Amino acid sequence: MQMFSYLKEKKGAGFYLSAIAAILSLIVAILYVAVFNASAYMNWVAFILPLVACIAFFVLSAFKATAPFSSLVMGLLNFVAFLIFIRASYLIYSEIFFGGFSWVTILEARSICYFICTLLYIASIVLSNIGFYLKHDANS
Amino acid sequence: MIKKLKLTSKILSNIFVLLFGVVFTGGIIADENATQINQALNEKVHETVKVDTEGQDLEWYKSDFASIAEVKEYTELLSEEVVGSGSVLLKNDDALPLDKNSKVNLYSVSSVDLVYAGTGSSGTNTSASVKLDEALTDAGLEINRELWNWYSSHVNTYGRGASGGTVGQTFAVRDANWSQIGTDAKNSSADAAIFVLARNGGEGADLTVRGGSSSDMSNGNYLELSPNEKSVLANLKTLKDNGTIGKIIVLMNSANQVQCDFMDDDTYGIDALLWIGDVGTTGIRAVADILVGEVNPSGRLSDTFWKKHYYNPVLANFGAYSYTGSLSSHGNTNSYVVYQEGVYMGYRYTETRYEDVVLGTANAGEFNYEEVVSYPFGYGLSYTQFDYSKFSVKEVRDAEGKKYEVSVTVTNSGEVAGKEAVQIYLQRPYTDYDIENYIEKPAVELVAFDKTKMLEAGESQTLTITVDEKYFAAYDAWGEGTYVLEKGDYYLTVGYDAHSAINNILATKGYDTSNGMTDFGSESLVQKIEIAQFDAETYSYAVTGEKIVNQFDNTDLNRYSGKGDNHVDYISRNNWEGTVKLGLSETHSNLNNQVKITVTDQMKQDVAAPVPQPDDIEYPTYGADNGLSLATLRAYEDGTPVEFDNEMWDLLLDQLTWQQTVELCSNGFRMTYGVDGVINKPQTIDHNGATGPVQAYNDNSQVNNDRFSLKYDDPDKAQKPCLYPCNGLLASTFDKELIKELGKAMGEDCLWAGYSGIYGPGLNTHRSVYGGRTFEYYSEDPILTGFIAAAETQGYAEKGVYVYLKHCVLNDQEKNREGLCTWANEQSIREIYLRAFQIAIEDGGADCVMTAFNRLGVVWSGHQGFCKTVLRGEFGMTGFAVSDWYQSSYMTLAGGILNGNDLPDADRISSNELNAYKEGYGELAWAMRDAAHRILYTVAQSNAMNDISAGDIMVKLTPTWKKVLSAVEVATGIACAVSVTACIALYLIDYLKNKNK
Repeated sequence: MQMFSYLKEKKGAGFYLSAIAAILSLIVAILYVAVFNASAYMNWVAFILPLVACIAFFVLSAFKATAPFSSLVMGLLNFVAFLIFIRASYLIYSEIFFGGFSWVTILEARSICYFICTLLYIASIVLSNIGFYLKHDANS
Repeated sequence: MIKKLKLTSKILSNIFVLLFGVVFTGGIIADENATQINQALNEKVHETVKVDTEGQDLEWYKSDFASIAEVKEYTELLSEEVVGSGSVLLKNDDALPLDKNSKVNLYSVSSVDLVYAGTGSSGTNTSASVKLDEALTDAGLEINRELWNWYSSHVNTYGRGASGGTVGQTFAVRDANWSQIGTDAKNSSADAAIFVLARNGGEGADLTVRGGSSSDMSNGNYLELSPNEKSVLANLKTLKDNGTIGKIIVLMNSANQVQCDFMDDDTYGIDALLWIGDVGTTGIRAVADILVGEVNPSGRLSDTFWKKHYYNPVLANFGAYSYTGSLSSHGNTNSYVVYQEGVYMGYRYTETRYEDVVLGTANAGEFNYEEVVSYPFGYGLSYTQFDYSKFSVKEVRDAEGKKYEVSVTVTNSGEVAGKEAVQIYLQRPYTDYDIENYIEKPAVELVAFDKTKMLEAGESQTLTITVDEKYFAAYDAWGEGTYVLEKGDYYLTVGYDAHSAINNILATKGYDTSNGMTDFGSESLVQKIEIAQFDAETYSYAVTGEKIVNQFDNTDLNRYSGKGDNHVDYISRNNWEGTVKLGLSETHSNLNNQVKITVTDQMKQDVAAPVPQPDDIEYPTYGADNGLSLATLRAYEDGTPVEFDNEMWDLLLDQLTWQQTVELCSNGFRMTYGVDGVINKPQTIDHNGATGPVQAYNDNSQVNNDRFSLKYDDPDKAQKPCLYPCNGLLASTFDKELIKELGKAMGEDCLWAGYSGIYGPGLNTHRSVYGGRTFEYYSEDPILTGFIAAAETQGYAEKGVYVYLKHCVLNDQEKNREGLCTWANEQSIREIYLRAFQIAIEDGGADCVMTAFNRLGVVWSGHQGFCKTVLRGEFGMTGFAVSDWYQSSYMTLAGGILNGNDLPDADRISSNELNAYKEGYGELAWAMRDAAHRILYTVAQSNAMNDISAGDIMVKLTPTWKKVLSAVEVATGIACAVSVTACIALYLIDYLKNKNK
């Protein structure tokens, strides 16, 4: 009950930015697993960590003592996930650009999803990072 | 104060954590791609501690030249000779040769911008190539300069559109029409108008049959005349009619033939047509010499030249088609192509259907040969005439089996000296057994060829050409499951081309023009051979002694156990009407006649890459101290190579550590891995390309400092080698000796550039003329391809260079090549698509192959197993197989090694994959050892062993970039740790302070 009551308190910009980052983490995890689950570019840790990050953010935000660290934890988890994602999938560029630069290949659904995943990972890291420096509790 | 410090440490730890993460991950990725980084940065990665070998000559492979300048002078002259010998004169209404000092007008923007080579991994900078005006002027012709200058200043406006995969996928002609040629010089009087008809192709994209730039090409068909080109040619005809110009000559400057319907069209009045392919650096000089009669053309077509390409049934199944249902998440795996034509591809279709029409065979259907074919396979004119006489066939038997010695006397009955390509064709009987067992027999097939010496007018030469009886046998996948020699009448004939060959045979059977033949044949040039017994034994054994059995059941949809309700009606001469389907209508609209396939459950299972299974097999010995080096196993003291199965190889392989074996089998990015220590296996450079080396002589200089360009510090080491003509032109020489010399010249380039292996030549088939990489491949015919490639391979080998025949196999198109499922029947695979590779391996001694991107059926070529069962088991290939550019999305290294694909064309990335099998996978461990054996054996026989003696020890060096990267990793790691610790400490202090308050 106490958890819900703190969550109901007025929040600062840091919380809202981080909440957006948490939602982006969720989206990137779903998109990544949906498109690449059967491919060599799939790494399950890079899928699970954004989910954990998202959950961790909301759980930590529920307590006054831990709320200031919620963005930090989420940002770190997403950063590690992003590095693992890149490590697992960077060879996709040799596939996309093999034979030269071609809009046809770049605009294929799979390539576009890959680029979106990359951008979402980065966006969630940046937002949670900014959120870490801003107030989470409007009253504090 | 604490607050400020807290914020500072927070920001710093934030920055350093991000930085460390990026640097750390970047370091892993960099390590996985170390070879490419080393090559890009010219980093030295090995050093050899040499023993004193003073007085010993360790240069096992020597150059015949003292400098790169000398090499290039020779290779450019030889390349010129090849173009002179390979260019094919297709039409000549007394137009050629031109008198010296003739005035000529050059038309089309391609006249100032010739096609010298295709694009992609075998392409290169062509700016140093000889221009047409220079070549013609040197040959004594007078050029209309004003017209030349106009075209030169309008290349950007009217030049060919980008073509080929590496620079885009737009195919456009864009040439100026007559009214756009903004100079009156176009109307100047001249003895001849020369129109350059050029097209280009390259890696990564097939040429457009439809859908090209519709603004300048009718129907978007890249391989027909554009409206603007027609406008120029029609106006030239007007100039010819009013006497302004004397004659119209067309130079077809393209590896991919432009359809020849315009040649018979009176609108254009073309007097002469010369096919010159892609000419390379200097080949255009030879073309100029042909035009003025200094060189008598002796090339013969290596492909059928179609009147209209849409008559070619291959186009019904050329491209990438989508399955009904989904097979795999890897993009291109969901697309397929079926070789529905079976063996009836190119002249095998046109000449066979022609014979059946003449014979009046049921279901032959409507087929007018002269409307379909402009110039048959093997066709070519000369400035002189050659007569054939004293044709005879003698049966002989040697250790390899039964053969036929075909003799024919060739007489130059014209007035100038010339050479003649002599082509021997075979007809096998088409029997009831064939019909029952789905065997098809083309009416004529090239089985052997040779070229005369230069025959002076009136001079004769008798050539004796051996035909192996194994080519009489047919592959019987459904009946005996091996090669069978059927009972019946076989015909051997010598033909000026494939069409004259079938006419000779028809004449022997009693037919003439009254039966619909296009011309009379000559019975005296035919020998009938009767085979009395059906024989399923003699040719069922390979040269290795291995029993030949079906190996491609899963590639033939009709024999595939997981076919479901799918079925292919292959083209059959038993039912032309019912099985021949065209892909395009006359207006080039798509008829959607491709074979349709629905995905089955078994296909979904079979598409998965093979995974090694755990086992109890004991691993090989690793790290033994046997004291052997690779140099010891190069050759015996008398220079004889140490045999592949010599037991000393086992001792050497025992010395390899697990990690060295892993690295040997994982690093194949245009190289083989260097093994340090006592074994001292040098790292090699094995570079592109399919038409000869294309990189600068000092490229990748870190790997091999013993290369001649560096060893002798040649002043021209930054130059690139001669750009050689397209492979189709090499094939059209029909001259094995000349091409062997050319292979040797390419080997010289390799010696000076430090290459021990070359990713080439390209042995895929000209299945469709729209294939993007047609310039890399030789012909539609496997015998011509195989023997020309074999000659080139032997030439390379003389300079210690091993070839990687590519792309093995059924990779005859560029569209969706990465993962495309290719379906074909075993007879066509063995008698056409693999036969070229077979000849290059068995007769040419080719060591290695590059497997292809595509799938055979639903299985990637490197996983299919034919490298093991067919290339090694049957053909006796001793070297190794490298994948095409490694795609981890559907290729696996372990699955490849288990199935005979030894190496990925990839950097260290895949070594992680193999390290997962360090224990409990004995079968894989032994397969890795076998792969290492093949790599070591091949390199031991190559020029990589130059200057290496048995006592030398190789030491590995850490490249500078790696040292810097490690230092940055440590620095950011420390900074990260300090800032995070400080941050935590400050938070704790602050927390405790607040608590105390």
